[in-house]
Amino acid sequence: MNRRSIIYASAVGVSCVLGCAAGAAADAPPTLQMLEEAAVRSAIEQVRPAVVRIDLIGSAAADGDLQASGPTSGLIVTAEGHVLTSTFGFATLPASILVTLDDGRQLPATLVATDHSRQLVLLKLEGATELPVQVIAPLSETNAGQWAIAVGRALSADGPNVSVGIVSAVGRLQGRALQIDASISPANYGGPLIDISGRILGVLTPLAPDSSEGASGTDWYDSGIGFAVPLADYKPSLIRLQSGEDLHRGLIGIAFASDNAMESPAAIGSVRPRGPAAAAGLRSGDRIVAIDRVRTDTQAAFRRQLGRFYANDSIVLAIEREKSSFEVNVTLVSELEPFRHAALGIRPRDASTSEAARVEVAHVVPGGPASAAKIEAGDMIERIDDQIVSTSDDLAAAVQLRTPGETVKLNIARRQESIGHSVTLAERSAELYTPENGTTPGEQASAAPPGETREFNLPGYATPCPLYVPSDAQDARPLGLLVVLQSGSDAIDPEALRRWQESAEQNRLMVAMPHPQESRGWSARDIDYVRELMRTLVERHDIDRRRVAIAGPDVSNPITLTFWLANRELVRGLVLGSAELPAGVRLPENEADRPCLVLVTADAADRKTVKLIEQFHKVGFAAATGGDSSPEIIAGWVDSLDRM
Amino acid sequence: MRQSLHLSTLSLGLVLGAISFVRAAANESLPTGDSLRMLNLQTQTKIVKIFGVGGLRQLEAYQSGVFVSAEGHILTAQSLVLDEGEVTVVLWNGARATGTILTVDPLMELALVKIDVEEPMEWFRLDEGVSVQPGTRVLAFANVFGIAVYDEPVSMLQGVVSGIVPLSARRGATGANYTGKVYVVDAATNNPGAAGGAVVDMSGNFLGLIGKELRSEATGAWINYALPVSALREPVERMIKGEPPPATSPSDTSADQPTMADYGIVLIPDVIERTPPYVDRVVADSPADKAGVRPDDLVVSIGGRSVASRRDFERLLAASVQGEPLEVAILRGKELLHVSLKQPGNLE
Repeated sequence: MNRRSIIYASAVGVSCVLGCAAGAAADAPPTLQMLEEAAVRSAIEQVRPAVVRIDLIGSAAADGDLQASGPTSGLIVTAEGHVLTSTFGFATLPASILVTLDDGRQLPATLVATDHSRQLVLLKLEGATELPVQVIAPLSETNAGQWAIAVGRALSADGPNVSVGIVSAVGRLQGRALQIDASISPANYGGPLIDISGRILGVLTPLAPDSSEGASGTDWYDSGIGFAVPLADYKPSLIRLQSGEDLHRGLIGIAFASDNAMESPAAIGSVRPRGPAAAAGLRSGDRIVAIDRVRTDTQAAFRRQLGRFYANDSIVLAIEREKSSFEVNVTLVSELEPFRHAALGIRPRDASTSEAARVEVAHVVPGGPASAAKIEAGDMIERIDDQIVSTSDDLAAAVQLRTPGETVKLNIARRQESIGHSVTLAERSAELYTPENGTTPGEQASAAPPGETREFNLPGYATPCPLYVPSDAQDARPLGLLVVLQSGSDAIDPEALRRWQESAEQNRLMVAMPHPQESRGWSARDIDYVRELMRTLVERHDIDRRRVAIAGPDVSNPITLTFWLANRELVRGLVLGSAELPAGVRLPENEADRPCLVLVTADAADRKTVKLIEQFHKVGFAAATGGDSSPEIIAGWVDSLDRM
Repeated sequence: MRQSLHLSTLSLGLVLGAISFVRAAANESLPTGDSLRMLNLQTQTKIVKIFGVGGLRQLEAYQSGVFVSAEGHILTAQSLVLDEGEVTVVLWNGARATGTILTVDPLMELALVKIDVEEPMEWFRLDEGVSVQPGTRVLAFANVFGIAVYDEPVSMLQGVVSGIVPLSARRGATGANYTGKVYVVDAATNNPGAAGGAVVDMSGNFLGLIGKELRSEATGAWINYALPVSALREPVERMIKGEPPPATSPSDTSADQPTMADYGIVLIPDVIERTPPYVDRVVADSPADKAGVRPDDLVVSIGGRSVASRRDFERLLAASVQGEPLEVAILRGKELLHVSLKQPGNLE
């Protein structure tokens, strides 16, 4: 059969079938689709007068992928001319705001206040009265699965533009938003989400998970995942916005003890100094069981409940402490001081004697708190604040819960005597470490025979990783690990590793110099490779987890920073060659259980270096300049990461 | 996130026995599933998959097309896929044919492809009256991402008409040639392979042809749209008859458009990306002066189109209609004023 006769035969067959079908379908009753379509259209007509178009003059909606000067949409919420819209387009304050109503009138508007938590902006129209306000659907009638119609007026001032979907979930993003599958984009950000009878469910916003502030969710436009802030319970917030108060997310200043979000009840791990929880007297170990008498059985439930509140809101927490339970008032804040690690100013060494495990002061940081309290190298630390300390991990855990400025009592054994010392903790510092007194571990190790140079093959990865393993001396300290990422274009160079051998030996460091798996250079996929490499080496060689660091290949490559951001639980030291944060990178806040010191090896006098160190300090990390990037300096610094 | 493959694709199979099909059609008590199934069957026969040779340039070398005559005329979007003058056309039943590009309409960016047929084909009528409003439910039929192969039916996507708005869109640096009204839909049609596909209403009436991938100028987002049947009717008739498109309108010539200086307006210097168009100075006795424009006024619209920055101002001025007064809205403090500037150089 040739091509033409195939087409011929098939065409005949189908025409017959369709002909029969068409006859049967004549004057059928309205289908479900037709009825639904009619209902959708009437709902749009109903809300239409309350949907406005907003032109922002002299402002750019430059968020992520979207850069346009176009208008945005808004919803009239009071007859006197209050209009809710989203923060989209308000990243830079517009010189002027012009609102077009459904009847074609154009009115200037002013920005009254911003709800940064829910990414909404309240505007007030000049000279407007008796504007149409649409009915809001009660929260009880907002359920997953029901019709959700997104309405905007950004595409044309003449009429609304719409997208139809369903409510995908309620109570999303810490209880702040409804999730919908209609197409949400700059065409309808700020416009209303309505139900099938035209009642308001919420206002469409560019919210996204893990977003802090700004219109951060625009990368998700038209993705089938969109968010609207429900208006049914928004009245109190609206009143605050109307009074000109900007609303921010309410922060409480605690970290949980467990990583398990379903831990029940949620136990506090640490309390941020000078934060709201600290002011209310909360402390580590307290269990939170309710907020404003709503039970929060898990960490997740607590976060969901807390996410609804704003800064300056007062909430009542129900707390269980040991055998007692009580309630406290906490006033939330918009910003917390970053967490900063405290330090005694010593380096410890685990000394096992015949009787018991002990912690020896291996070294005292010159000018540090321990030095001021006349603690000396060789002292044995027995207790901190009456808590028995038998390993350096115990000591580290105890210090980690303290804050700089706090005074602790150390019980020290020195030459058969036991003395109590009061030590006022300082901020943990990242400054280069210059030995002054005592026996530094490095000196001890330098006499040992040289270690082993080899290639390490991580199963499943093609490119081998050059590795230096220091010699295993009798009674030696555990090894630290320094991963020095190699520039992508270089072939594997045995000389590169040789430069590190002496310093690695002296400072008891294993040095790994991985190359990217593909010749094009470092890519995001290599992060998994380096993580696996790091984990494998740490486990196989019983690496001291407090002395694990990563250093970068060259000044411009962001891979070192990217790796650290993705693996903060592993990395305790970050050595950066670059003096500038790559575009778009925001540093995370320091956290008690993920300490990290930063060494910047770029020119210390450079303004950029100073700025980078400030940027780290601002979010709670100690950072210092390394002056030059010689292996001696970097290895010595990495060795000293066990400072506490 | 335009290239998301999660789409609500209702690809109902065409692999239905004729017997079960007729039985289902006779049972009118369940209109939903059966009418959709029937509509899919009817529509699929009018849609083709088009494969070109653009693959050599590593572009997506496939798109969609619709029959617009019983004689095998296929309407599709003009694109690089058609560059070689010949394409491979695959019908709903897997039959392959070689298509010849008969003619193109450069303004609408359409192309007419012809395949040889011996028997009449099912085709979309462009002369049926359709009623479309925001909220009208639609189905889009197109070979998005080239998923459908051989005799597989093209993907069916559901959505509604989001709006009926002028196409102001850009693709890279060059804008779309067509600036008339289009149907913006909320089905994800702005994807490779969709161009040339059909948007139909719930009765299977042809509403429009999916155009090439474009970003909206207003929002910066990729837009899902269809060229409306009302705008296609005339060009398609002409193309089938083999008549050339009419000469382009004279509004293209913007060389001697009056400038800001001609109207006597000096705006504040363009220092930032989005400098607001504040009036810095007004030249005495100029059209702007006579209309009462003053320093510190903020220009908010020209000819009814909003002006968000100084650059918008210049762009809109260049596109304004010659020989007519310029309608300008200005904001003075909290007062919105409308003024009309006489065309400079007009005899008084």
